Amino acid sequence: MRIVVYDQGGARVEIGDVAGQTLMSAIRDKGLNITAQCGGCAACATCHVYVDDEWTSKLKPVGDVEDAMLDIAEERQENSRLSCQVKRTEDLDGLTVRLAPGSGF
Amino acid sequence: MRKRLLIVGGSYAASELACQARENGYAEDILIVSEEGDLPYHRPPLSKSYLKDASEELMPLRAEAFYRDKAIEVELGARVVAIDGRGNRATLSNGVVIPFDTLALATGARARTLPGLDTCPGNMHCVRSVADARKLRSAISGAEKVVIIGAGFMGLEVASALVRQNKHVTVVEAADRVLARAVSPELSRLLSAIHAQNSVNLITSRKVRPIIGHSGLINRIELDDGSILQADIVVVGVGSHPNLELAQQLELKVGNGIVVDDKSRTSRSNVFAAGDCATFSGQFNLAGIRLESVQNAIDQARVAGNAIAGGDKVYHAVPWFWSDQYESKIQIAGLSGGATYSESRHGEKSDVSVFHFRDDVCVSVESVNRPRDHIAARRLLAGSKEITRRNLQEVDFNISALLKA
Ligand SMILES: Cc1cc2nc3c(=O)[nH]c(=O)nc-3n(C[C@H](O)[C@H](O)[C@H](O)COP(=O)(O)OP(=O)(O)OC[C@H]3O[C@@H](n4cnc5c(N)ncnc54)[C@H](O)[C@@H]3O)c2cc1C
Ligand code: FES
Repeated sequence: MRIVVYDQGGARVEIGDVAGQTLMSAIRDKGLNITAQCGGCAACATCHVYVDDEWTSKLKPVGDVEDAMLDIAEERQENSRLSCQVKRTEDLDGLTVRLAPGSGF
Repeated sequence: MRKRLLIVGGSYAASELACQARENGYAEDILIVSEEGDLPYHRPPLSKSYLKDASEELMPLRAEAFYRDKAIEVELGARVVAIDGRGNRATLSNGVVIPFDTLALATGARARTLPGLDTCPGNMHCVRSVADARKLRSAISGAEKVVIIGAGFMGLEVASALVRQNKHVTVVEAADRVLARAVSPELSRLLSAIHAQNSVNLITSRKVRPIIGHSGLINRIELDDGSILQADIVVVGVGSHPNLELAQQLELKVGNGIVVDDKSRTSRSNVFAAGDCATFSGQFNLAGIRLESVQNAIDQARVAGNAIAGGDKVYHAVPWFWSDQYESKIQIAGLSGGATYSESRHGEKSDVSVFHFRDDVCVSVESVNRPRDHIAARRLLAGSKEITRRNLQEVDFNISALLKA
């Protein structure tokens, strides 16, 4: 599967053969600047992304802990997600996200 | 000639410091020297998921491509053995000499060993690096009886991972309660009960003496009340010791760690330090306890990297920490040391939050399986308004409600 990521500076990066288990690990393994401080336990919000509108409804809904955590993320929006909580599944081929401010810090 | 930032260490603080210096515009050479063989990786899983599942892989903090893209050079498998502070040169274990302009010490800490043991018997383990965790993981299947010395986070996490693999696990602790240095008595009691329910044999207030057999292995542990524990493997988790040798060579101001200010500057103008090797006292840590957490390593490294690039960010972060034991997610916001009053709230399941106050002001919240309380506490503690006992009583300790107020 393939995903498209816009980094904090707006550059478009296509990840062609996503191997990781989650969106966070795919972004990290591509070498993009994502801190993902807690390693994927939904405890830090440094893996915060904005999901392109056409994809938001295709993702599993935001979980309770994820929702609380997003509340402390910088600049939360309607389409905010923690990328460590988005599992890689085949139906997400083409998923497009933007790294939020704070994800690299 | 180009200038160079030399970073000694290969974990959270080293990686984050390099990255922040670059992101904030530092344009000179950056070199990380780490004695470990792997790129900086997530350490917490080593005593948790890594021991439970033999197929679990090491999780890097950042990919190799990241360091390459940011022109951050990483030299692995090399130890910095000496630093000449007058000539600004570092000598590596492979003999190479590296000049630098700015130096960052991110040397972390190493596991303490048992006093009185001058050899390291083959069946004695600690868990600090992935090399340690690999060695322990490969010894698990052949062992039946496990003795863990020290009921700190590491010891208790290892206990919970191994007892679930049907090992006979005993934890021996010298203090009169588990996690005595890290958490409140309330939380200690709660966690002891959880371990007992899970069939871990927990012994407190006892000192140990390992007995080494003819094979050169520890085959039993004698306690100071005369009782004997049989052991196939022994895991030692009696705390850590900051790696201060290089700081001492440089004659930096050192206490229980390298003393740094709120920009992670040491007592020498071109030397910074961050993470487990450093100590800082500030609003959230008046006593200047050396914190050993991912949060602290990353946040200190951020201000150091920023300062090296000429920025003026200061360290002002609420300490937070987590641990996973069985189905319990333990999360701690703030430090409870020095608290004068505590109050707990239990939920319907085995969830609980313990609120700690110093002179009526909330300074820390410890929670088990209550992530919302933890997150709310972090936000509120970071804010400019104090949270008083009365504030919490008014919302019946539903701390999230205070966020809306
Ligand atoms: C098993 C385990 C579980 C943990 N679980 C948690 C948890 O759940 N939550 C949490 O918040 N924290 C946890 N921690 C603590 C956390 O991992 C540490 O606070 C963090 O790793 C500190 O990072 P650091 O970069 O300061 O130093 P360290 O991680 O100690 O790394 C120091 C690095 O420097 C290298 N080094 C040292 N001296 C030299 C030298 N002279 N030359 C070259 N290289 C050198 C070392 O080899 C090492 O790679 C855990 C720690 C361990 C060991
Ligand atoms: S990596 Fe920490 S919340 Fe996603």
